[in-house]
Amino acid sequence: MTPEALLREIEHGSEDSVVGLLAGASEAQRKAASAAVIARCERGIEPYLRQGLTAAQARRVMFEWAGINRKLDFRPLLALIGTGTFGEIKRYGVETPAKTYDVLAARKPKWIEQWCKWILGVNPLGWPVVRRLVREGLCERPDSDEYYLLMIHGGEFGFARKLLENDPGLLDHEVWELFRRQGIREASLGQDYGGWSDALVALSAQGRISRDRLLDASLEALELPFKPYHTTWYRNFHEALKPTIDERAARLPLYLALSSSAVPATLKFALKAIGIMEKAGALPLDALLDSAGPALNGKEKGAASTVLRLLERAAASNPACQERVAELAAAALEHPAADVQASAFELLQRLGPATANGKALVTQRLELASAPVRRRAEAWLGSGNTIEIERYTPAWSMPDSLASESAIRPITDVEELVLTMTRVMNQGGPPDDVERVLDGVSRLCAERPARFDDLTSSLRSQVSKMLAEDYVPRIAGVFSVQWLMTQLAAAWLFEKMAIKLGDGPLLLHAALGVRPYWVAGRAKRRKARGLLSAPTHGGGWLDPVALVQRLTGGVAVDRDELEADLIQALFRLAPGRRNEALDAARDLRGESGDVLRYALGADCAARGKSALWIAATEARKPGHREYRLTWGPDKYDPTALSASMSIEPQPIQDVLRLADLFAAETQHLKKALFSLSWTETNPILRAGSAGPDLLAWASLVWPGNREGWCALGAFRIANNLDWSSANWSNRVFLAVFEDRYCEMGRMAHVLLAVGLMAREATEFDMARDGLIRIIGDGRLQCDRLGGALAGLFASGVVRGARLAKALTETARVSGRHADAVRQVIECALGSGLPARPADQSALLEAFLEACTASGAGPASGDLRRLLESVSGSGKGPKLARSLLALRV
Amino acid sequence: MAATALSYTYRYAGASEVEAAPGSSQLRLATQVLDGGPRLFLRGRLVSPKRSGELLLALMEVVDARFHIPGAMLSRILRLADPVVTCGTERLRFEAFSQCCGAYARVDLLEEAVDGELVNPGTTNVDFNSPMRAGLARLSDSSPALLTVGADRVELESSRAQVVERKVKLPERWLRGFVEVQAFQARMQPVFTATGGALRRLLQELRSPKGTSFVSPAGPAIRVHSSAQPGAVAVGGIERLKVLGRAARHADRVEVFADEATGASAWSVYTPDSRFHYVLSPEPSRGFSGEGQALEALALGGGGAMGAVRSALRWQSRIDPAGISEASMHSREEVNRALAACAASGLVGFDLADRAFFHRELPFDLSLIDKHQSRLVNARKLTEDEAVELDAVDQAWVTSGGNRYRVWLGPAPRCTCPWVAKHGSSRGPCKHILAVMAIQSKGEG
Repeated sequence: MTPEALLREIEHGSEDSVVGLLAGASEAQRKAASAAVIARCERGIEPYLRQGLTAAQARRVMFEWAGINRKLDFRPLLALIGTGTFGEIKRYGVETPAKTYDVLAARKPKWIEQWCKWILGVNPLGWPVVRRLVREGLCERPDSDEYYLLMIHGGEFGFARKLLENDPGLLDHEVWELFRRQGIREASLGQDYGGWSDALVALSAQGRISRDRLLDASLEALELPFKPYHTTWYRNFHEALKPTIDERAARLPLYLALSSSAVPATLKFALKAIGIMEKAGALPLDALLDSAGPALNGKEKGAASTVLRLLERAAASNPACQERVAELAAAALEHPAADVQASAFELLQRLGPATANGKALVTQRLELASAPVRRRAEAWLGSGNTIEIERYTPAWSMPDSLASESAIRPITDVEELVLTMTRVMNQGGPPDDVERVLDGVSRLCAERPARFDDLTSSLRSQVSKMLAEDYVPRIAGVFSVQWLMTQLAAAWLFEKMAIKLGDGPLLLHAALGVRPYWVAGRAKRRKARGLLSAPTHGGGWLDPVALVQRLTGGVAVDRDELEADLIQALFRLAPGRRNEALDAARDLRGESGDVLRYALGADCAARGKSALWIAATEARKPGHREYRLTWGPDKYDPTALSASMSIEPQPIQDVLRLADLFAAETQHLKKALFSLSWTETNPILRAGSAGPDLLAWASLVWPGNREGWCALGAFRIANNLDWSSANWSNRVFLAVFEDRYCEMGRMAHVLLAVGLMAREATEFDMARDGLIRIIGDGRLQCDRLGGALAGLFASGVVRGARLAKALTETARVSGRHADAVRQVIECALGSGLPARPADQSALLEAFLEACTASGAGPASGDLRRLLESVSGSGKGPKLARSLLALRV
Repeated sequence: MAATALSYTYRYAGASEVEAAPGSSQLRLATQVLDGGPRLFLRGRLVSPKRSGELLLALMEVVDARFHIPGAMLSRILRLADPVVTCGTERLRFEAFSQCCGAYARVDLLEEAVDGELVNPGTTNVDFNSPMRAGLARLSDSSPALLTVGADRVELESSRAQVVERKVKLPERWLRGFVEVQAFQARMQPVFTATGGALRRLLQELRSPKGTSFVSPAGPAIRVHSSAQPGAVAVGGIERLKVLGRAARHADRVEVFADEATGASAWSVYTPDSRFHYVLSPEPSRGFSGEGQALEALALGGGGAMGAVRSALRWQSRIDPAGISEASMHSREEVNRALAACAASGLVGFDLADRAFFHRELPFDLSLIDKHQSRLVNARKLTEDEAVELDAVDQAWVTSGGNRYRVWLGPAPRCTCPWVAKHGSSRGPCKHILAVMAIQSKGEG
């Protein structure tokens, strides 16, 4: 074979003729021809280069895709496989044309194992070539998952039988590896298009593959740590073999081992097999008793119930094992499902009177049992009621927001400012420290202590990098806490200014950017001044006396800045120390003094309608606003909740009121540009896409009035209840329940109700923890929460299971919590039971738990009549009857 | 600095197996064949085979676990490393470290769990394979199970035995983490204890919220909170606790520990005759190796008591610092510092239940760790380049990368670098702080 001859076949011959010519060539001849073949391949990439691909890309695709209406030409590729090095072949893509085997079989290159390993990793369709090479003894069998698992890839539907019949050698080794290796993305028995289960069953029926070994292998596969999805095939396959009772009995240790599987479906499968053997009388008692524990200690209701039934039958036929059965049944009293606990208790009762040992065992396990089961068990044991009964009544008064333990220490020097600013920049908060840094820059921007450059060296370096990378938006405001810190530092250290003020109706981030704009401007000019609005206590509170002192010692400053700063300060005035502050403000001059005295409660009227006076009016006594949220099925997805919000009398969100005030008074707007209609639009637009750090900082704008904040939070969470979009910011709203100064108004309860239905685990946990907290400190209004829940159920969209779980977990905290939950559910059910039976029984079960724990049945006549109307033999009606049986 | 890996060859005298015979089982644990020839460590009988089997299965779950897969990780992950077994006085210990380097587990079989004879104390690797896993699942309390750890020459010459060899690349990150986790444990404080039932209920109801959860006792139960509470332990990636499922089935009680500075937690599950210790890094994406807790010990070395401590190591299950101090005339502080240095070098482990170190020597060449601890290397370079300028008491300036950093030592060291700004002290000291500590320590020396 000469290079010219090979090239002639590539150009004018066929694949067969190329292969035929290569077949007789020596390795030296192949090597001599390889340069010419590569040159020929390189000519082939030209059309792809014209389409804009790079040479490397073109080489990779040239044998995969020829273009529209063009046929792929594999002759050059076959020639390359027959002449090139392994490295050269790899450059030209991963295709394995039909004749690949013939070329490799003739050539028998030294790198053939490497080629096999490589092709299996990049092209599943290469498996047939590799298999044939292995079968013909031309290469070692690769020990890789790809080799074994790609056997099941591709092919037409049901191809497995044909493959195994045509290549029976696979039955000796390869097939068994399928039971030891978990599927990979390209090939998994999870979707058995090839019909492997049917094929192996058929071949075993013909005696061509060992049935015993298949039965063993399918069970052993279930013992391996495969992902749950990959285990389905093995269970189904095992059952498809229809094992006889004797075959199962012979494999009892395997089934027993699987009865402790962490995969629920495998556990169920094993218990079913054990149940079959038990019915057939083929299950030794010891084996059952040994294997019962894991199912009773697990969380699967079905598995635990199955085992309890098996144990009961065992105890009935073997009285000697009753003590051991009682021990196991007692363990099931700790199962999370109340049904299982009840079944376990009933089994204990049927086993006979409790011995002293048995009593101790049961008593130990009752701590975690549900209240109804605990009551019954205690009555049976004669041990008296251990359930603590305590009534819940709301009783809360706002703690002192100016308590010394929440006082904020201002930053004292440049060293501390550098450390704090760097930390807040890198961590995105916390909000109190954002304010400390803003105030720190404002007050200390003119100071240049010794070695100032050294001290700020690292901060400069970090800020320089961020400024170089950062896209500076052309719209107003601040975009994240990190961005804010960067811009403050840029102004302070580099005299650069990027924060802009808005010139139209503002979004949240623009409103938050107003004060930083003024501070950065002064920092650039080294004009220091303390901020009026810097909080003195955590959570954004400002001591009125401190504000008076700040105004008294005031420094001349731009009027617009003073107004913006004073407006924010007014919104932060704490309710305490106002009389003392009013006294101290007696001598304050100018409009600022008048405004402040009015805000503090001076006996005078407001003297204006500007933003400053409006803020003072709100600080003096927050106005009443009616927030209304309504919900129903989403018009595009009836299974999802859609919420809408309206606010009366003024359609303005409290926290965004600040934005409008700034817009109106500090931006020199023409009134025509500032349209009230903006404020009626979707609140989501107004809050924008603020990240969690910015939202958390925004919560400090008006700490004294949370209703608008809660309304916005409820609106946003309700519109994402099923977590259709990953909106991580929404959980910031749920942190309001940790704010011990927050009075729980109507919207706060609506926010709580929505949170308790949330699908996202953290939102749900925060809402549940919030409920527990506000019961603990007496802030919960049961009728408000119950009413909000009733409204949500009326939408017909929300599910009761999540809510029931939260309420049950809350009820278990203490007797007081149980009583609060009882009252909440009583109110929630006041307007009717949820429509869906599953929701009904979930809520009734939680109600029963709460009522039993609090020692009080449903009190309301309407509710009792409602429960009496629930008829039938299902779980819901049974629960209704149990509730009616409770003492009121 | 490119990631480094230690090429390591596991060479076992056969494969570990559970051989089932009518009425009994034999659990043979194959250990490393050492240069000095085969070694038999222990021979005996498992008193509670089912329980011991389940604890070892739980350990295997940790070996296989990857709770976090970095975005760049595309290829399928193979199991890297086998557990380490220590046969010492009073305890048979099996240690494992997850592939993601964020979870450490140790099974301690107490004297009550194994009725047998300690033939040779020591630490070595032990082969854990899939067939053995299946065999462990089939152990039952109704039939006795014999146990051998290692093999003597006679057993090796039997027809069954053939050497099993497996080459792996152990990432430096994995090795460092295995060592670092001892420093974490030594700092941890017990926070609360709960019953076995409470632990089982917690695991049964465990959800998988993102981020960090907080757990605290609530009456008879353990409650999970979404935010920090007084007396609550932070657990990042709480779904990692599911590994405790098998151990929890046998638990009488669980003791929960926390390292407040870093957010790491530890769960010690007590059964009648054994313990399962499970230590979690602050978050799934954070392995123990980057946490820098052992850095201080490595940077400052073991001090003058190192020799005395090393010579006192005799495979004891509980090292007595007071006894060493008395015997060697070194102060308790010096002995503790030397023990910390031994832990950082893999020579001792820490037992949370006993609140004491125990002797075991990790069977890896750990000189790699010191060489490639990047922060330590960088700190040393700073001192060599004379980049540290001591200023006042416990204060210094450090020049690095064109910037100047201000460092304050003391009980809560600080630095103006972005690393400390972001992480605080949760990941150990930065290189600047380490450099200043080293210079100051030299000065004191």
